[in-house]
Amino acid sequence: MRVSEEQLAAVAKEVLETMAFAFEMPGEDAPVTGDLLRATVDFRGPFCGALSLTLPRAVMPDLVVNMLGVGEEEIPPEQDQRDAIGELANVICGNIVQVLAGPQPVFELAPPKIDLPKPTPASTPTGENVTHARISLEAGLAEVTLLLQPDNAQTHGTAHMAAPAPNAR
Amino acid sequence: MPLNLLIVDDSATMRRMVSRTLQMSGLPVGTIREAANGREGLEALEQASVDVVFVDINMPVMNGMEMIDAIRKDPRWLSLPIVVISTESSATRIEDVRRRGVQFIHKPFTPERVREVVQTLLKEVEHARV
Repeated sequence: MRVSEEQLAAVAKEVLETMAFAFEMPGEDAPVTGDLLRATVDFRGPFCGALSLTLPRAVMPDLVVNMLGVGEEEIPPEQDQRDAIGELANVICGNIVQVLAGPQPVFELAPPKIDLPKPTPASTPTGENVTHARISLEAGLAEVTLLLQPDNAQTHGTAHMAAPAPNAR
Repeated sequence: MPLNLLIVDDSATMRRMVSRTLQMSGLPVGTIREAANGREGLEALEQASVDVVFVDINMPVMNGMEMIDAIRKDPRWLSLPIVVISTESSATRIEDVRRRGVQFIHKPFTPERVREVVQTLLKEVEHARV
């Protein structure tokens, strides 16, 4: 089972556009660099894995303003920026697992985990169970990574992250 | 007449987003109350008159399905319009929601979609009264 880069990008674009009014712009398909913010959502169901959304920190104030409708004259608090990227990752994750699994299965999504990744290639997981999509936004590149566990994943949690807690978002 | 609304979601960010979307929807929005889980949502219902409830499914303390069941067991709220707003799009889960007489909005959502669903719900309530 594998999601294509195009499928992942399509879901991410729809979420970014609908929730944050962030639209894709023509741009280079280069690695996401600079100061970054990443939200990771683990999921568990018929298969397990994790979805992460990485954005340049410079993008976040505009996204938060768009998402929450707060005034543009102030830089949104750090917590709002973290919550906003977490919500975006959560919604992308919830949508992409249904693209993969079809309409019937129910998945449990864990609360988003936020961190500040280093912009080095080594921090990006690779392999046949990993799909990356990059989206060029006006203020910088966004990267979405879907990590699917091997078949026995349901009982062992994801490779990099703990299994989601029940009753999570 | 302005609609008094209750938004129940454990994410403060999502509550703000739902609130903002409602303000953009063109619906006559009155007072918007917020609660962080189903238990707080039930307490809010006890304290004020609410016309429509918007509720997430997965929340700590009391989840959205438990809250909906508690609402429907109370004779005062048998026909209270409820909208689930969730990331989930599983047909199984949506069927569970609809069986309880509740509308479903999938995230991400637009102001137009919210308006359409609320107007449909309010018409159903009006028809039921006639």
